[in-house]
Amino acid sequence: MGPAIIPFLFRELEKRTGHWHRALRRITGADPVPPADRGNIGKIAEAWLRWGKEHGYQW
Amino acid sequence: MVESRLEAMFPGLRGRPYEIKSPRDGNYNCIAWAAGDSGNWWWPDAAGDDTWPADVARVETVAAFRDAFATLGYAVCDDDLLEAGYEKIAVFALLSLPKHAARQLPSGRWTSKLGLGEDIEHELHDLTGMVYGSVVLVMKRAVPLAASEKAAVEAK
Repeated sequence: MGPAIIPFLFRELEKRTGHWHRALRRITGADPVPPADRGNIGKIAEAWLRWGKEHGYQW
Repeated sequence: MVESRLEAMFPGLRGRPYEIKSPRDGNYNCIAWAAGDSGNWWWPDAAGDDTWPADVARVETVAAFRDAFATLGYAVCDDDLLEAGYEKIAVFALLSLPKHAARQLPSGRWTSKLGLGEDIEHELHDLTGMVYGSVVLVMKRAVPLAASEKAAVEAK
């Protein structure tokens, strides 16, 4: 897996079909989740979706 | 069918008195549910994505899980029998790796969240198998007795 899969991961993350943030973190190396939101799957997804839009990803 | 999926994963449930108590929910897991938290995913992942008590090692060992539940007031105990005035949790491990935790209900039965899936009510050892392994640790903590329970204990 590599960067080509990132839009798919954002699409699935938006649909809440699984813990796709784990793969996004590994592939991008980014960590946009505030420490206070660790473990909160909904807030983690929101943080990643926001990050994806800010970095120009489309899905 | 949910039952056939669960029983394929946990053959010990076949023909046993278990009940599915919730729909699938990927927002919390077994450890969170045993800890009384249905809003977060608890695991000592090295990346730090998941909820874990701040002062407890983020390693997948039975000792780390014991320490995590100790932060909630649980202490190691000898058995999984129902005790008036106590709430118990049980940690399952496979090849020494923690895989699951269940929490005892006031009835003496146990409640488990199955990964990303459903909550079930079950007999504790019916989840023993190749997915979760077996119970390796039981802990308990005192819970306030309801007035009726207190009267029953005092009457003994």
